[in-house]
Amino acid sequence: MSRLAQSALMNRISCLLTRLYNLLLRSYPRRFGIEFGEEMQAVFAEAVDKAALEGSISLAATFLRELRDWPGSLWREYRHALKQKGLEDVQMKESMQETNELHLDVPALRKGPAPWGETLLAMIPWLLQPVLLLIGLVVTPVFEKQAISESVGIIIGSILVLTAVVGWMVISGIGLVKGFPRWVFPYWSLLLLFALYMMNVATPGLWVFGYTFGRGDLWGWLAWIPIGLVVVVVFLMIRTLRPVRQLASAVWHDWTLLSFTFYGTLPWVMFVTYDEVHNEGPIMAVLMSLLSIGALLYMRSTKTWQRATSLLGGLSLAWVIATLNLANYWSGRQESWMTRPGNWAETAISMTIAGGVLVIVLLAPFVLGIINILSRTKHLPRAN
Amino acid sequence: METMPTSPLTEATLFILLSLSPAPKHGYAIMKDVQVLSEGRIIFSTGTLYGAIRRLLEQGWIERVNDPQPNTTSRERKAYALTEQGRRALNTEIGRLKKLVIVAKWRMAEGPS
Repeated sequence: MSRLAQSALMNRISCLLTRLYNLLLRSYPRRFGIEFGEEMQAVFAEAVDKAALEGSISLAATFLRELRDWPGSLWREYRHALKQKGLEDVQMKESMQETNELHLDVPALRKGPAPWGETLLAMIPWLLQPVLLLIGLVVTPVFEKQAISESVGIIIGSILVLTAVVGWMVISGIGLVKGFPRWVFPYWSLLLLFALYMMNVATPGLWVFGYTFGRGDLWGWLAWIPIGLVVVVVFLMIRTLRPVRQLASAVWHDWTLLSFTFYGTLPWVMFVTYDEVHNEGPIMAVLMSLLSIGALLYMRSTKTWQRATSLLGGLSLAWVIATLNLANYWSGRQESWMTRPGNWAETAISMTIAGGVLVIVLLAPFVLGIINILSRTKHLPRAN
Repeated sequence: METMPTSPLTEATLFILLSLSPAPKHGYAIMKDVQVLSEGRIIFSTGTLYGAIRRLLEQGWIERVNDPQPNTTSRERKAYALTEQGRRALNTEIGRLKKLVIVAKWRMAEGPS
């Protein structure tokens, strides 16, 4: 290769590496990027120019060095940025008035409807089933035609499930870092419910770090490891109990957050209700969509009564439809495990009772709201 | 607020302070100077270098100044200089290392027992 061609090639590689480096720079915390971004670009560009004169190995080494140190630098700078934010939040709170500006410090109490991005994020726990149903409709014919072998399908399925679980943990962790904004409450309720459920589930047989789970062992306390990991990683990063204080403050000032937390468990309640029902996919998708609308209205509401009504409305409508559907489904039907055929009235009555219990549990946190009001009126000056 | 080192400085911090002790320098010059001072053992990436610079700025051991070197590149350069506080921190660390060398030499002179 001629010297000119070699020089041109080095220039092209240098440009590419500089562009890749700029992408890495964007991952740094915003403040760090604003303060040092331009300088770092200039220094890297200078280093790359000098390395290009020495040859391709020197050029590669310069970039690989950046890549090698990038995760460590990122961790240090984000940890520092979160610590700084924590200090600033404490200073802000100390200079704030207690009730009027409390919402600035507690994300879940911010005034006004939630932004649409957060609203959509809050709806995911209910929209997940309809989306999976649609994916299933596309993927099932592929399996039926045996376009993918079973073992490959199992691997793909495992990766998808793992991605979903890890994704759920990451989202829940982000919510914890951000001080429990409104949208994260259903994620945590599902995470806790899932851990409770998995405690009594048998493992398929695993070998992890030298420990063998025999077939038939229950997960037991190990089911809490994912949640434990999320909590430990977050608190190692932020090194403050501020999110816990924000959670307590949020729940104390807005009891509907506890109701929303319970609302987040309704997908599981529905799945249990529709156990042993065949071809339940489409009706479940309808019920989940109705529940997600309740969540949407909740996130966009600005007053307590609006929030409570949204959740109550979502639950009631979904439960009425489920009651009618199941009463119709089980009417006259007898499965092998049933002693007699199903009865419309019996199904409707038991569903109504269950629905009543759900409504009571949903609205039970209202008691906290009353305690809050009473505690505030107690401190008001008496009229003479 | 003056912050004196209560524990040994990291190698990266020590070399950056050493690099700035004779005269202010911009980022790339610090990088190359540290490579020379450490005989090629320490080659900073920009992430590591500027993470250390951020910490030193917050501690008040270095400050930003006008770049004294003529700028032959088309890019804007910012330079850093050691503050009085930084110089005291560097002297404290050098004093600690000197004592360590004296103790080590004395103990080594005793020979194996």
